[in-house]
Amino acid sequence: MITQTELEKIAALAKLSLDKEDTQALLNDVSSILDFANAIAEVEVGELNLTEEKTKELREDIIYPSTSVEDILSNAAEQRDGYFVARKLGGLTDE
Amino acid sequence: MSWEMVIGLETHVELSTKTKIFCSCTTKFGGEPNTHCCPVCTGQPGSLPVLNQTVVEYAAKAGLALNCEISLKSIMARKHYVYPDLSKAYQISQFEKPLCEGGYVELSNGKRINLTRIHIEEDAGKLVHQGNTVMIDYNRGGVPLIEIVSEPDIRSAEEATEYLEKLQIIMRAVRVSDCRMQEGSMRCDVNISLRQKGETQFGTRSEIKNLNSFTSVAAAIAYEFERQAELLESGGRVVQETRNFDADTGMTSSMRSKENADDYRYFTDPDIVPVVISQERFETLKNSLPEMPDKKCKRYVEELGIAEADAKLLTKYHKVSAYFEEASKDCENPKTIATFMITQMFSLITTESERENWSPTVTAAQMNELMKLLESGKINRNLTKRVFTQMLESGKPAGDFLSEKDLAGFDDSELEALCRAAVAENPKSVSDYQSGKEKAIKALVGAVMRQSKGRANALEAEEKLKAIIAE
Amino acid sequence: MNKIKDIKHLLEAREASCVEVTKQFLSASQQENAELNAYISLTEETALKTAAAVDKKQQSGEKLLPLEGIPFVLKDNIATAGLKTTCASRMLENHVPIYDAAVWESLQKQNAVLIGKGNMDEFAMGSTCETSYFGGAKNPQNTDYVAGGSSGGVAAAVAGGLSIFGIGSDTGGSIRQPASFCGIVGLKPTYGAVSRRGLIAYASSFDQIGPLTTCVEDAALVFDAIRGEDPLDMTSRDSSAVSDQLTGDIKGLRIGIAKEYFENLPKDLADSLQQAIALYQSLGAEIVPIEFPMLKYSLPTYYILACAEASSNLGRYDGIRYGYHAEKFSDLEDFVCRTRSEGFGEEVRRRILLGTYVLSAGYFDAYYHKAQLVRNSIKNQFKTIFESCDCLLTPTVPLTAMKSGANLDPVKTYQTDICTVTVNIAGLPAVSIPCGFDSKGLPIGMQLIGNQFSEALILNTALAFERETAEQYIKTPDRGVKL
Repeated sequence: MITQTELEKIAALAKLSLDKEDTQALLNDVSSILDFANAIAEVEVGELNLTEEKTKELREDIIYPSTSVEDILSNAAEQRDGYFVARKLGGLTDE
Repeated sequence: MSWEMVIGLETHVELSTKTKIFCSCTTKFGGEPNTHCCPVCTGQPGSLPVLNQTVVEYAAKAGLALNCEISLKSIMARKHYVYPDLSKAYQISQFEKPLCEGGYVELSNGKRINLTRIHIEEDAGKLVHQGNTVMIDYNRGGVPLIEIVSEPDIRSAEEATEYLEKLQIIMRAVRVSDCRMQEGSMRCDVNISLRQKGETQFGTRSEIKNLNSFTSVAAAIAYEFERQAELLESGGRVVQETRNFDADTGMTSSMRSKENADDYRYFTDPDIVPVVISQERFETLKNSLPEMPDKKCKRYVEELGIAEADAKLLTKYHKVSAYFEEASKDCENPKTIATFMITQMFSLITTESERENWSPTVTAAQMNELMKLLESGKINRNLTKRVFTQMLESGKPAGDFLSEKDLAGFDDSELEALCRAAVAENPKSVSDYQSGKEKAIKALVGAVMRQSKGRANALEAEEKLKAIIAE
Repeated sequence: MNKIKDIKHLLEAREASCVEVTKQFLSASQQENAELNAYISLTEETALKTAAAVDKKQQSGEKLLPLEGIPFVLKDNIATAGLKTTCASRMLENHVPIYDAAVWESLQKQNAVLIGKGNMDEFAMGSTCETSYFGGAKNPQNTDYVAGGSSGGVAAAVAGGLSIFGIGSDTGGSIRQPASFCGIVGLKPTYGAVSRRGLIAYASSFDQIGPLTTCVEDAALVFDAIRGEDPLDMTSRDSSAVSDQLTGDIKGLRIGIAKEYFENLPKDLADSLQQAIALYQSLGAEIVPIEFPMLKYSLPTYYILACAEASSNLGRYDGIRYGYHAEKFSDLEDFVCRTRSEGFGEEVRRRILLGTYVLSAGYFDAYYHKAQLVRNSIKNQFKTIFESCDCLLTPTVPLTAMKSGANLDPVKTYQTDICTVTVNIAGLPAVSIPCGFDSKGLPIGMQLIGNQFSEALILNTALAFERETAEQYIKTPDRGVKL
């Protein structure tokens, strides 16, 4: 039901690499889940109305102290001078 | 081939709330990286957004000031894309039900640039590229923005910059944003396409980003117009793409990106309940809107008789017009005060920034006092100017510089005496005048003014001198 | 089985200090974990510190709060500042949160003693606990069988006598199903009754935190301690206390039976539930036949919407601000993709792909939007149902625990959630209580579903059954702490 091309497109959107995947098994699994999900196609339902939603009092515009920069960066893969660092290149040699 | 440019602008305006849209971190500009952050704006696992009331109200006010239809119930949606400055890999924005729809900005020639919508969204962090790495600061992440989308009604670079200037004035007038392009509190993307004059179909458009000033906007439009015209005339086709403007070269270039056509996968954010403004609150907001600068300017011209150029200056910044209105309170002739402010104060307060902040040493109340004295005839223009200068230097009120004698006015007999004395002491000027040199009278007037220490009325003195000489 | 009041009695009668009791639970947990794998980490230091504080308070003569000094297990998708919170995933294997979840704040206020973080299915996605990066939790009733999911580790710890109560999360049945498999009580509160702040999100409009306990009274006590409107969770709502409303009297109660839940049940389950229904009748309840034709659409609706929300909630794991990160990559985009593909397990990757698909252009209308409409329809159907009855009685799961390593295919696994997911779709409260054993001796669970904010009613109904059956269906384990 889902094609290889579609799967690749979806994986790219989801930022998942398909390299190590058993693509055929994945295609089968996702296809069978989609078949299962398709059951809702047959049911007739009316349109949504938003009236039910409860409202809530919104937050007041008052400043609270921020979290320390040490804590903010404490789980970062890499940091420098208070910034998060993301590398554009790392450890892959040309194959 | 007669090409017409068709332009729509997407303008992002930073709202000047104290805290971010979904957390209580400060929105203060600057600060060391990642020092204005918390679990919410850095997208920590398990964090939840908490909507700021003032953001909704500021956005509604902006919409009201721009003549939009405000939805009392609107929905926040997630817009998904991956970029290091976006901490949750989605931006909370609005999609199907934005806060404001429709609306318009009226240009000075009466043309209306219609708006499609205005919606609320959060800003992303800032990236600093350094060699092989990208450094990320989330201080700006979560700062509240409104995105103002115009219809493609703009037909020239001039209209574009005027539209932006008007937007800026209006946003500042309702006090929801500083709206400074150079500081990033106002950002603009241009969508431009070309078509033959008279054609109703739209051509393919390109989107221009990275415009940091009104001048850049105008330059980018000019460049794009030429580029697209050339392309179309040589039989080529315009590619729908995003282009980057380089202020140094004045050119736009294609932004190569690896993204497949953006599929944002919008859906209603389940962490945020619908945004509801009560009818009551809405009425309060509507009534709290100040008089818009355009309307105020028109009123100054039509009702107060102020010259249009002067009125424009006075209404550009709300602090200036507020000052003027307080200074001319209960005065008979506000026009006098307007003129006085323009000639005496605007010549001293010259930069846009100073004018926006308008904080002269002479307070509006002090000015009001001084102007009332002038209007009553107790002091004349020259004295007023002199006293004003002294007030400006010292910050003290008029009373400090006016003696009882000054305030008593200058009676006719004293003037007569001074004139006769001046005539007697300046025979050359008298004979010059009598032999036809009209200007010689000015020297005599000068002498009278000096002797009276500026208190005499120059026009009256001149008339009296002429009468005495004629005797 | 050990209950909250047993510990309370020990402490108040000064028969043991809180530190002594805590050490017992820590030691038992340490010992049994090799076999049960109920905990991902034990929080010894935190536990002993709290216990010492409780002892100090006890000595000063101050009255203890309802959960004060009670050893408990917290599912490892709930943020505990300074203490590892892994979501049973390689992605967060070493993650130490920088803030406390609201529910953990509430429990700290009560000085409840945190024994450890409970094992679970990875990112709460699963029905066996076996998608955990750290291996599945075993069923204390029979370790050849799974504890269930996704709060499997929490259920195993409580059922195994290693903690007095547990805090789990329930998105499609993740509290109730493991409670049913392990033979204990599990309550999923009304959506919004307990703050989700600090609960690492799976599906935002379904997730809810709730208690797993050894008796109904304890479920009520824990619920009262953790419920409450949180100004920092826009979806949280106010609720009323339930503990003081439990009488055990259900005369005149209208219990709805919807036949759709009972189709194709294995014989021992069907018999068990029939007996329960008969018991309720004898206690004075009225049995009302109900129709629920929308039930069969609840599974696809759930999986479409939950996976969509999951794909969105898990987008943030890109290796930059926290979590696992790839070592070898060709550019930034590749870094993100490899980080995610290496950090997430198979089930998580599958659900992210599915969720992305149903939200993508071209499929949104047929899947996501349609599922939203069906969800609305199911909510409306429940409204009608609750006009004719006060609560619904159903099996919690149409089966008992699966064998460890059974590795059913995804769709077959999803189908076992049929009785539980509908509750999350409508945001209703539901409690699972043990009501029998199958031929293998594995626990059978019965579910009571109520209308919005009717926790008191369903707990009361559960209590009536518990009292009448003298708790015969809650087996004291051979292992764990014997007070």
